[in-house]
Amino acid sequence: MRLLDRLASIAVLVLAPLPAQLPTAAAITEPGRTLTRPLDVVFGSPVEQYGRTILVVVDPSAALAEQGFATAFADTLLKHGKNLTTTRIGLGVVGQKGCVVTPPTLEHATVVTALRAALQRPAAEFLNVYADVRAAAATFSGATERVLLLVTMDNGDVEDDVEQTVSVLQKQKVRVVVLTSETTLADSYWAARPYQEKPRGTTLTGGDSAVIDVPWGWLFQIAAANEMTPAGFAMWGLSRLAAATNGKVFLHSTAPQTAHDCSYLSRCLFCTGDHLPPDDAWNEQLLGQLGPLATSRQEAMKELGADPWFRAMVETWRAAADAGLVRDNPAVRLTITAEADRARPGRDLDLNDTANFERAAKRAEEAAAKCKVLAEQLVAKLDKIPAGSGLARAEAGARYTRVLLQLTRVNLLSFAGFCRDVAPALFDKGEPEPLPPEVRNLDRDDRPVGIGWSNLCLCHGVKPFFGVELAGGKELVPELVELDRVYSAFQARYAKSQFGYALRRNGIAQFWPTFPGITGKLPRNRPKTDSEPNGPVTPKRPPREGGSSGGATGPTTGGR
Amino acid sequence: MRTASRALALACLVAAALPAQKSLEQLVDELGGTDAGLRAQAYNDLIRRRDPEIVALLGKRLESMPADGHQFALYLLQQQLFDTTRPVYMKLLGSDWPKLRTAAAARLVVAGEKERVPVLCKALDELPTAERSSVLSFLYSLEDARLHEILRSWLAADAPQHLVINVLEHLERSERTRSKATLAAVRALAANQESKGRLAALAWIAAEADGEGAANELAKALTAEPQTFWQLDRLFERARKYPKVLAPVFEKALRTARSQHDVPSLVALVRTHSPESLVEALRSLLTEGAEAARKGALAELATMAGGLDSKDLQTMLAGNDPEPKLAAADVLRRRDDLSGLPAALALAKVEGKHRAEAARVLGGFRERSVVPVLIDCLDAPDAQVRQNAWTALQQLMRDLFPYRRFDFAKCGYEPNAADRSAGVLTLRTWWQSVQ
Repeated sequence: MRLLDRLASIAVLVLAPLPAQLPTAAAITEPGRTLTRPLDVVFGSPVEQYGRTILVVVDPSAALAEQGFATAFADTLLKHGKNLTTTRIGLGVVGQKGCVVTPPTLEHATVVTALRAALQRPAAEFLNVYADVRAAAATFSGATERVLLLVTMDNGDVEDDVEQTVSVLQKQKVRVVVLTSETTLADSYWAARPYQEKPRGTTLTGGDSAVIDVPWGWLFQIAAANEMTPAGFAMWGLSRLAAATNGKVFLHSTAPQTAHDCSYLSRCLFCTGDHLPPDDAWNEQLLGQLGPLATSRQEAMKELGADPWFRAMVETWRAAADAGLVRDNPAVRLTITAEADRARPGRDLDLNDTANFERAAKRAEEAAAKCKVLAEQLVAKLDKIPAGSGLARAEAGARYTRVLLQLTRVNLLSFAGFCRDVAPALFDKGEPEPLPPEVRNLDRDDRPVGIGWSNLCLCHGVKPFFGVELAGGKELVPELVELDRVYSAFQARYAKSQFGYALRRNGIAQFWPTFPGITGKLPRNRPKTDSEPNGPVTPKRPPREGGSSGGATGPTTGGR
Repeated sequence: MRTASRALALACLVAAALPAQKSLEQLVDELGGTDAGLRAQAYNDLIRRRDPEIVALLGKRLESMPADGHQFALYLLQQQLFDTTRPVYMKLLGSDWPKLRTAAAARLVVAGEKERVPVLCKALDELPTAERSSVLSFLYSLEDARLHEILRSWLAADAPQHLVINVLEHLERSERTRSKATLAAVRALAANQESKGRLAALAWIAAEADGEGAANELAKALTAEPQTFWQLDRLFERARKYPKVLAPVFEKALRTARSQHDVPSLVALVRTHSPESLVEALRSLLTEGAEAARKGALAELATMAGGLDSKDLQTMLAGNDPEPKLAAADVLRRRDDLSGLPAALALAKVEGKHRAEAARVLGGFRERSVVPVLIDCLDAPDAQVRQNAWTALQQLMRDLFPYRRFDFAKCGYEPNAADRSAGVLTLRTWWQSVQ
C-alpha cells in the first residue's frame, strides 16, 4: 500500500503542470471598485469599423438601484455621446421573459428610460443569470463588434449551465464584460446550507474558484473564515464567462476599506477596537498570484487533480472530516485526476451535547492526537513537493490546512482541559469561595446539558495568548508555542493575502457549560388560505449571515 | 453566618472608605453662591447624585440665585422627570429673568405643550443679545418655523460673531437643510461690510455652489489674520466641499492646531481639499506644533499609510519626553509591537503629570507584568491616575482570565475614597494567589 502511495505521488509529480499555464481570475479582473470606470471602459472605447452593439443585461437587485446605477449609466452615455453615434445599445433585464426588453438601438434615451423603470422594481429572488445571458446572446445580429455588459451584484452564484452559456457566447462571438460584487474566498456559504430553496435546475455555488478549494467548517470555529474573507475576485461562473470570451471583470463595492474590525461573532482579548494590524494592507501581487483558475470546471479539476499541493490538501481534508475535525468532506474525489463529488458530512464527535465531561475529554484528546498525526502526514507530503511546482493558490490552501490542524488541536486540548479541570470545579459545592474580586462562576443548581463555546480571535496572532489563562493549563503551552510557530511562518508569507486574512478570522475557543433552555409552546400551524399562490414561486434570497453580505456591501480587498 | 459576617465587614470597610457627603441644601447654596469654583464643584456633585429632592430646592432658590448659577440649575432640572419639574417651569414663566422665562417655555414646548410656542416666541424676542447664545441649547429638537424666523432675525449686523456662529449651527441642524430664508439672511449679513459676524457669514456661503467669491474674500482675511480661523472653526466641522482657494487655509490651520481635539475635523478638511499635503502637515504638527496637539497628530498619522513608520516611533520612544514616549508606546502596541511596554511601565511608576496617561496606555497591554504596576497606581495621589488604573485593571483582568468571573465591587475599592488601602490590599492578595 505504501509503495502504491509513493508511486501515486511520483505520478502526480510527473504529471504536475508548469505553473500559470491556464488563465486565472487575476488576468481578467480589472482594478477599482467604482461604477463609473467599467462604464467608461465599455462605452468610451474606440468603435471598430463595422460599428458596435452593446447589450446591457441587468440583474435588477435592490443594491444596484440604491447605488444609482441608472444615473451613472445615463451620465456615461452623455459623457461618451460622440463616441456612441454608431453604437447600438440594448437592454436586457434578468428575470424578464426573453431577457431583452429594449432591442439594440441608436435611440439611447429609450434604453436609459427602460433601465430606470427596471430598477424601480428591484427583484429580491434568486435569478438565473446564466439562462438569461444565453437568451440575450442569441439576439445579437449583424456584423458588428458584440459586447454584452452583464451587471449583477448578487446572482452569479445561481448556476445552471455555465459551459452551455460559454458555448452560446463563443458561437455568437460576444465579448462579455461583467460588473459584479467581490465574492468571498472559496465561498462555502451555500454548501453549508444545502436545504436552501433555489430556482429549478440551478445549483447555488458562489466561491471565486470552480471548486471549494479551502477546507471549511473546522471544529470549534464559530463561523467559516473563508465565508468572511474577501476573495479579490468575482464568483467563478462570472469570471469564466469573461475569461472564455476575451472579456473583463469589474468589481463594485459600496464598502471601501474602513476601520479595522478584529473579528466577527468572536471576542478580541487584546484590544478595544483600536487595533492597527501591520498586515492589514493587501499585497496586490500576492492577491493576484493566489487567484483561482478561470477555466471550465472540468479543466480546473484536471489541473487541480494533477497538483501535488491540492492532492495533499484534499487527502488531509478527507481524513480530517472522517476524524470529525471538519464538518464536511471535500466535494472532490481524487483519482489519477480530480472529479466533482458529493460533499458527504464528516464524523460528528458529539462533544457539545453531553454533560459527561470525562467522556467528552477523552474523545477530544483522541481527536487531538489525530490532528497531530494528520498534521505530520501533511507536512511530510508538503516537504516532498519541489519548490515552485504546482499552483500557488493550492500551496496556500495546503499550508492553511496545516495551521488549522494545529489550531484545532489546541482547541481540542483546551476543551479536554475544560472538561477535566474547569467544568467539574464549577459544580463542586466543596470548592472554596474564590478570593474577591473573583466570584463563583456559576450560581445555579440545575444540571448542565452540554458544553457551549465561542471564539477568542486570532487577529493579534498567537503570542498574546501566552499570558492568558486558558483551559488546559500548562499542558497547553507547548501546543500554543507550536501554533505560534506555524501561524507566524504562514503569516510571514501570506499575511497580506486573502489566505492570511482568512487565518486571522479563526479563533481559539472558550468553553462553558450549557443548561436546558426555557421552552414555550410552538406556534400553531396556520391553516391554508385561498390567498396562497398555486404555482411554483421563485424563492427569495435570504439575508446572508456570517459577516459578509454576499453582495456589493460585503468585505472587500479594496480598489485593486 | 460566616458569609453574613464577611458581607457586614465588607460593607463597613466600604462605608468607612467613602468621604462624608455634603447635604443637598449645602450644594444648592454653593450652586447659588458667588464662588465659581465651588459652583462648578457643586454642579458636578449634584449631576452625579440625580436626587429628585433637588427639584423642590431649586424651585425655591432658582430665581434668587445670581445669573451665573441659572444655567447649571436649568441643566439640573432637565435631568429630572418632566412631570416633577413642570410646576417649577410654570412658576418660571412669570420670572423677572428673561432667560429663565425662555428656558421654562422651551422646556414646556419640548415636552409637548405646543400651545406655549407663542409664549416662547415672546420670551425669545425679549431676550437681551448677551443671553441669546446661552438659550440655544434649550431649543434643541424644536423644529418650529416661527422659532426659526426669530433666530434668523438675530443674524443682525450688530450681532457678535459668536452669536452668528451659534445661530447658524443651530439653524443648520434644526432646519435639516439650508433653507432659502436662512441663506438670504446670511447673504444680507455678508453683504454688509459693517457686520460683526461677516466672516462667519462668508464661511457659511463659501460652501454654497456659488461660494467662490465668498471663499476668495474669506481666504484673504484668514491669510492676513490666521488666528481668526479659530473663531470660525466650528462652521467647518461638517467638512463640506469648499472652493480650492481655502485649501491652504485649512492646511495652515492643521499645522497650527491648538489641541488634539482640533485635529480630526481639520484632517477631514485637508483630506478633502489637498490630500497630497496631509501627511506633511501632520508631520509638521507633530514636530513643530503645539504640545497639546501633537498627540492628535500622532493618532492620525498612526492610522495612515506612510504616516508613521516604526523608525519614527522608536525615535519617539527613545526620547526623554514622557508624552511622546507614551503616545509612541500606545501606537506600537496597537500595531502588535510591544517594544513600548518597558517605557510605559517605567513611566507609570513615576509621579508626574504623565502618570494618568501612562496608566491608561498600560491598560491597552494585555500583559501580566502590567497588573502589579496598575495595582500600585490605585493608591496614587492623583485621582485621574487612580481612575485610569482602576478602569484599565478591570478590563485587563477580565481579558487575562477569561474563565474567571469578577465582581469588582466586592473588593471595596473606590478611586475617590479617602482610604483605599483595604481595596488595594484585596486586589494585591488576589493577584498573588493566582501567580
